[in-house]
Amino acid sequence: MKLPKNRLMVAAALTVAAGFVLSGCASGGSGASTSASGGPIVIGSTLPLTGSLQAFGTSLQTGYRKAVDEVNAAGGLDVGGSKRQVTLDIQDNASDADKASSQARNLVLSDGAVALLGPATPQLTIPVSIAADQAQVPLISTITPLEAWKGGSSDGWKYAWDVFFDEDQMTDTQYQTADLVSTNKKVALFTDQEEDGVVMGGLWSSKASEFGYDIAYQAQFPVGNANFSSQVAEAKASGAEVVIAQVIPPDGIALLKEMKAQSYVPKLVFLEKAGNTGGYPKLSDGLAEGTLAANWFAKGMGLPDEDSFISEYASQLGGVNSDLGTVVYGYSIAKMLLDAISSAGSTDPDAINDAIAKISGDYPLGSVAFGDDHTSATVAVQTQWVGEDQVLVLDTQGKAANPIVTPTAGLQ
Amino acid sequence: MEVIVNGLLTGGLYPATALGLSVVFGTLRMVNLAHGELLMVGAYLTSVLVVALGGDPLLLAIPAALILGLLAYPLQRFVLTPVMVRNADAPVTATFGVSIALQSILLLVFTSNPRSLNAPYATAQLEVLGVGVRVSLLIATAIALAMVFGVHLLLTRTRFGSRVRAAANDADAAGLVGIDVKHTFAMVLGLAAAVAAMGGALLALSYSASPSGGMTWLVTAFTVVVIGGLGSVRGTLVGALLVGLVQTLASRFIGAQYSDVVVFGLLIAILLIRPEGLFTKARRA
Amino acid sequence: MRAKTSAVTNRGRAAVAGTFLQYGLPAALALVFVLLAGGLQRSFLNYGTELLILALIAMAWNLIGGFGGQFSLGHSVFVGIGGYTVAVLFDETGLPFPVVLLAAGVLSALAGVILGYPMLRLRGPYFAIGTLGIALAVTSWMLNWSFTKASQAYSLPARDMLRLPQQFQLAVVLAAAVLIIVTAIVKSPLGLRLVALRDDERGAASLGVRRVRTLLPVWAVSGFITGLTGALVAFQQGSLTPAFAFNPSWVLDAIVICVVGGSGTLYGPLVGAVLVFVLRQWTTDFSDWATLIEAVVVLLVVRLVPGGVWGVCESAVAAIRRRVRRGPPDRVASNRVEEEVMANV
Repeated sequence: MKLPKNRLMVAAALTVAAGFVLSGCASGGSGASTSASGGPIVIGSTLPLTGSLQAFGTSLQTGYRKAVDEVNAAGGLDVGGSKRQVTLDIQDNASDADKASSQARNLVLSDGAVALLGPATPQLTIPVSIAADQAQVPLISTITPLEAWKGGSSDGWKYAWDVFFDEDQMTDTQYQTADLVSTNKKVALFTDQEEDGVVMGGLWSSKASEFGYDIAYQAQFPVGNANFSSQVAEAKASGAEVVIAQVIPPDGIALLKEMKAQSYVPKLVFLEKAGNTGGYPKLSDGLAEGTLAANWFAKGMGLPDEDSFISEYASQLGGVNSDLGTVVYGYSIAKMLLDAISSAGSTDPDAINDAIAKISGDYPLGSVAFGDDHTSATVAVQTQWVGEDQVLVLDTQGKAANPIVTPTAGLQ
Repeated sequence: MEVIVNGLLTGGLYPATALGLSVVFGTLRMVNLAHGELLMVGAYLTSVLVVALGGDPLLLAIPAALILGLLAYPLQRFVLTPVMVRNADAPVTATFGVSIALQSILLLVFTSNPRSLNAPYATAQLEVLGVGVRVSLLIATAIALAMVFGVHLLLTRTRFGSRVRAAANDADAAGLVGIDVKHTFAMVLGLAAAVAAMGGALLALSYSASPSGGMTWLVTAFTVVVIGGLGSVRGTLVGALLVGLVQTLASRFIGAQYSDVVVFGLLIAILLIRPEGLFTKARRA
Repeated sequence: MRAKTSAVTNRGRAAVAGTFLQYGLPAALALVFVLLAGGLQRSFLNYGTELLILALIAMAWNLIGGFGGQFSLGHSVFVGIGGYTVAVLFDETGLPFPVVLLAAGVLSALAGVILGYPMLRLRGPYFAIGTLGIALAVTSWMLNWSFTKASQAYSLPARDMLRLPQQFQLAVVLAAAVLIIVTAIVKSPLGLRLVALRDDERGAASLGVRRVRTLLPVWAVSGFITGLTGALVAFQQGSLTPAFAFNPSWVLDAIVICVVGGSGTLYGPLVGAVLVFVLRQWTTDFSDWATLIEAVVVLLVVRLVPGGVWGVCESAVAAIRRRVRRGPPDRVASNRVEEEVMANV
């Protein structure tokens, strides 16, 4: 008499396996056929709607939605002669790279997305770009510095595209801005160990002499470092009147508190990354007032539709700040993608990909033209926190805009 | 010299953040992976009270601590204790579940932006022995010391303390003697959570708090507790000062990017040489 | 022990058939999926690979954590080592794919032995924190190591990445192989010593079971398997950073899966992986609430179903069998003893 346990096990295993095989063999995903045959066009996006990168994710979502809603309200996207509605399929990756990559694949394979819109920051955008290249589906991303993004592919991107500023130009802006104010030309550098911290730290160090500055003190620390007491003490002792820091928002507050405690009031404090958090002066109880940060959008930059975006979004986003800029950029790349699909005249991913390569024109984020490396650079400017707004102090030509408030108000 | 003073003061804050972990481990033998989140929730609760009622954040941290303690009681009583008796691994997973739950709640309610507590003394400085030190860290050290000794006295001099130690030593025997073990254990987590809330407020005052910041603080707290001795309250104090000192010295002389490696190396070394820490009686099991 | 019951009796024949099935079934299923991989729907291959990665790490952890009773919080270090070995070898050398894959596993196992050997003396929470400390120390080190590009993304050359059907095939083959290896270990004398050590160390010692000598090979195998999985992750993701490859979430996922499915059982990790995976797919639409829901589910399972889902299944099957059996009390009793023994494997 055989033990029933074995029979049960075999039966269960075979049933489960058969179920898997059958589900796997079912003919092609319904989503894919809909996109191909004339139903709505599916554009997918995996965004950090929760987690540490939440602010970027939600702002990009606003921008993407705006572009898609506009097109749908006008009756749909004109593709090959017929107007088709566009469906924006957004998934939340909770700021996790593994989820982002997995969702990118799912959006294409299960939901039938014909193209993707990217998340933010290299840590998310690179895995999603790899997934897009593997799935051979076009992806346009933004809020991802170009050099870091290019470094994520060993032989060049095929289907992934990026529109944002180049770290090389961005790391000039701090020195250009400092030139507008009289300082002792001594710089204290604070960078964390995240990708961008390392890249930008290297660029700032190597450029200092060409701009006539001296790196009097340099500190590198892990992300999440709270205690800056010895670093600030040394920076203060070095006499640096310019501080350039690349830190995450909580660390930025800790750094500012330490500087205030030690009565270290530099003439200029550039708080990159942290300073791009909406409402940062309020979050830091006023300490961040007067700090500067590179930005991709500001009033007075001379971008198309500047004022209409400001009037539409500034109040809900708490002011003219990076979140507003992210909405503008999100809207722009979504519009670019939609235009590319339209000019390709079909939803074939390769045709769309070729059409993206040919994009050239003005969008709310500026003028766009992709190079062979699949990047299109926008210009980083410098802005200073004045109350709830980030005010333009260095424009796209590298010239002075609004006057700079110095020394740093929040630390006094 | 300055580095040493700063190191000691940095470490002075740590007992407040690590005490809850030490108490829970010492009595419940439970690795509380949610401890970091308890710190963060404490900081946020205090922040909410400050915004709603206005006033000094440290004073408001006290009611925040009470609230968190009260919330932790049913958690231990109805979720964690029953899990603890089944097997040794499950409580870790359970506390991990609590940790994720707390983190998601914080994100849902407060979004991912950091929060900081502010007060005039938060960014003030004082001269001590010719070295400039942050007043907030001095206050934090003082409060941490008070809490450490308070808890120590509680555990060694009061009836409640004897009940806790009895239950910790042998839960079954304690039950036979008439101690309500479930209630006692739940009180322990309540105490740990209240202490953690104060710790969280202190660190939000000196630094800042964010929903995802719990993990980093959890790791620091573990290091402190292991070095000082899991279960020894006074050990937590020494462990904290040592960790703060090592961190600041490493940061100053090797570079902050390696300070983590050094601290974890210290943790591993202690575990290999004297796992019970510096202050627990040597246990050769 | 098995030899004595084989072939001679009905029960013996059934036992042999059971063994054959435990080894043969996974192999057969793997073969089927490998052959069909080209024809299966791509989204299925995608989901399948992700599911199997979860299952692999869970099975590896279960070996040392469930069967061995040594609660490791540091297993993420093996994922990272395995993944980075692949990235570096592909980038710097022209070694063929199977060699690279094997190297990932071997290097992880080696690192495990070197780093873990001193740790194996520790028990319970000390071991947990010790392994966590190692994982964190290695992560911090990696963030500074320029050879592996520190915190920059280290990407695999496009030519070395696997296409989706191949990823799936590799995942299936690995999963089946690991299941067979784990089954073999658990049923071997080493496995018996391991479980004896877990359940009653003093008693086992009195029978001559040596602690580190028993744990070390198991720990090494666990590290080896996890390293191979790390390699698979590298093939799937295409790009690594220390924050990703060494993230504690790998080991925490494994623990959640084992607890939900049934720690210390052969099929618990598989069942757990399926359940957790399905839950995550289901909650994708409720993005904000997804992690909260998962946390609550974990807490509910831990609180109410301590043996895990597979544990519940096993008890149910055993209970059914007891009711089905009729016969003289002594035969029933001896049946039950043998069933309990077999049921615990």
